[in-house]
Amino acid sequence: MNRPRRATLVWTRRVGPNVYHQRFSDSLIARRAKAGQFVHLLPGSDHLFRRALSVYATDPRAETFDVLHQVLGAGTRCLAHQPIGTVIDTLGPLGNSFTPPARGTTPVLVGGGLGMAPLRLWAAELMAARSTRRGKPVAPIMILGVRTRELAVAPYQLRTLHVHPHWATDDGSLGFHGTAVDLFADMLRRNDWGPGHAMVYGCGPEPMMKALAELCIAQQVPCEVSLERSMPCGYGVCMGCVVTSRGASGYETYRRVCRDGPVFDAAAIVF
Amino acid sequence: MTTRASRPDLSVTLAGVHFATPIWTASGTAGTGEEIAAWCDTGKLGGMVTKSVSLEPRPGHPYPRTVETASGMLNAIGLQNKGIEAFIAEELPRLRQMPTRVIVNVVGWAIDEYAALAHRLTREEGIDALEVNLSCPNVSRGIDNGADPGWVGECTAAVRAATTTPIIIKLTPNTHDIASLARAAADHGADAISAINTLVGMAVNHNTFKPRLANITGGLSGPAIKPVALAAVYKIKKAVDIPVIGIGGIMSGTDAAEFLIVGASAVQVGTANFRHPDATTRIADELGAYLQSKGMTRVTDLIGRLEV
Ligand SMILES: Cc1cc2nc3c(=O)[nH]c(=O)nc-3n(C[C@H](O)[C@H](O)[C@H](O)COP(=O)(O)OP(=O)(O)OC[C@H]3O[C@@H](n4cnc5c(N)ncnc54)[C@H](O)[C@@H]3O)c2cc1C
Ligand SMILES: Cc1cc2nc3c(=O)[nH]c(=O)nc-3n(C[C@H](O)[C@H](O)[C@H](O)COP(=O)(O)O)c2cc1C
Ligand code: FES
Repeated sequence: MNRPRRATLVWTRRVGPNVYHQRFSDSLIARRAKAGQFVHLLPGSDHLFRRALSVYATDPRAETFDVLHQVLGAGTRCLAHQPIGTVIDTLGPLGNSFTPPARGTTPVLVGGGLGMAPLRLWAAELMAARSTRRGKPVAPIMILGVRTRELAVAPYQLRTLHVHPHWATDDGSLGFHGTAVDLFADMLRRNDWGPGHAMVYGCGPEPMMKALAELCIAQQVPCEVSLERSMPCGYGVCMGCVVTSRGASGYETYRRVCRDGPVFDAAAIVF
Repeated sequence: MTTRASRPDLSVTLAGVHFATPIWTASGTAGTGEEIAAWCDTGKLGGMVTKSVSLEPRPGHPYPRTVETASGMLNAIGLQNKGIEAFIAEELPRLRQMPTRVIVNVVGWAIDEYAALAHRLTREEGIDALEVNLSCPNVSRGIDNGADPGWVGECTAAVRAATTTPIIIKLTPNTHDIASLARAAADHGADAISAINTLVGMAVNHNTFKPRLANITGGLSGPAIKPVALAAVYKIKKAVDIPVIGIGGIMSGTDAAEFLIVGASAVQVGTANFRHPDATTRIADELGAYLQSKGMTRVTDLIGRLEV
């Protein structure tokens, strides 16, 4: 039987304007969490519902997992300011995870804003597979978009993985001037990433995921997107977190992001 | 240390059915049973009430369907369900295997639909009671009819005639006179009443000027509605002598105890399941501990103990 976890806050670092990187100790989540999965944290006793955050990093040996989050409202603010050592009532790891790319295919990770969180763990898993698996999988390419340079948080986290992201900023203050999807479209034109050569993984704001999905479908590049929904329960009972999806026969139906996702085949989603 | 022998007896019998505990899950808040069973010992549950099932499948309302509010939530799920035949084929077999009582909640558009659902379910084994949802605030006519005692009486009579299974009529609080609704149900053959369903509410985004729910209005549930629910149980208990099942904002064992004191024979836990997947079993344990602290050996000793 699953049980709520009592994860202890190990440390908090402010890594950008309103952006916090937090480490928790919990052996089970540290061991089991896969890229794309999330934890559902009760920020404090005053909150009725939990808040969903993607697992950003794990360290099974140290028995810790990390999250990277933006203070949006009362829940994330409370979490960001909890004293070190606070025990947080946590469910997880929850949800599904990214599907590995076909052999010889380049994984392209396209993130927007805090959407980089699950992609960082995915990059870590893909790099780990390179050192352990025979017939070396192809190294991931990472494209990250943020509004402005200051929000390009935690690049050091990526340097330790030997993944060097291509940055895109809305104001042109860092890297490419434009969105991550614009940069990806540009790179798609210049590289041989057509059908059978690349697999795209996206996480970011919904309009961005829509644009990415449309581009990938048009170019016939397989694409998975990780979606966000307001999640009262996080384990599938409330039916609140739905997304419209195309069924096998083409008819539209609602699916739960917490349990059927958060990762979906982009072609199956009606944005 | 508590020993097995000193553990209070939580069992209750109502409408001729024996329940291991008076703590049930509320309709629409425990998934198909499978999801919640992964998180809690369902043997500690008195009953599992299914999400409302209708004759035809319903897609439900578009997203956003929920909003967190002060001490509660709004929902406008819109009765998403697969329809009665898929329910019987895909969900009922699993529900039957669960070590708890199964109460199937039904919803219709018109009286004959309620009767047809009751009739269809009577042929199926493993259903301990039907809960008749006369109170969903998220669909048109859901409340208009449910707030009319004449219609409640007629609908209850039609369901009664269609089935031999015990029937529980679930009432809306969106009325000025819930007692007369309860009386109409009791007079037309209801075995029990459950109260309350959600209260109509709304939330607005002051930045975008838009409603926060796609359906604009929704049903308010959670701790915010507990006082309304307690008053409803109190009024209904004074009006009828069939058992009442209390619902609304129960988050702890003492919340449950308060409903029992007012006269409820059992309670249902809804929104609390979203905060804690094991809420119902925690509440059952807490209720046991509370009874012990009061020196009571049976939960039935608590029912209706209100002193006014
Ligand atoms: C699977 C998943 C993974 C996520 N991963 C991250 C992450 O790694 N980093 C990060 O910064 N954010 C992430 N989010 C978004 C994060 O959950 C919300 O920003 C957060 O819940 C806001 O809570 P709040 O109390 O600060 O804001 P409030 O607006 O006060 O929240 C009120 C309610 O709405 C819900 N809510 C509000 N906005 C959102 C939203 N955009 N998405 C989902 N729920 C919302 C909250 O859960 C809460 O129940 C993720 C969301 C999901 C569903
Ligand atoms: C998300 C959600 C879905 C619900 N769906 C149903 C339903 O399908 N049928 C029904 O009779 N009541 C439904 N309800 C109402 C609950 O069963 C219960 O009456 C109400 O939420 C009050 O209890 P609570 O405060 O413990 O949640 C739903 C409530 C919520 C929050
Ligand atoms: S959050 Fe409740 S079903 Fe997904």
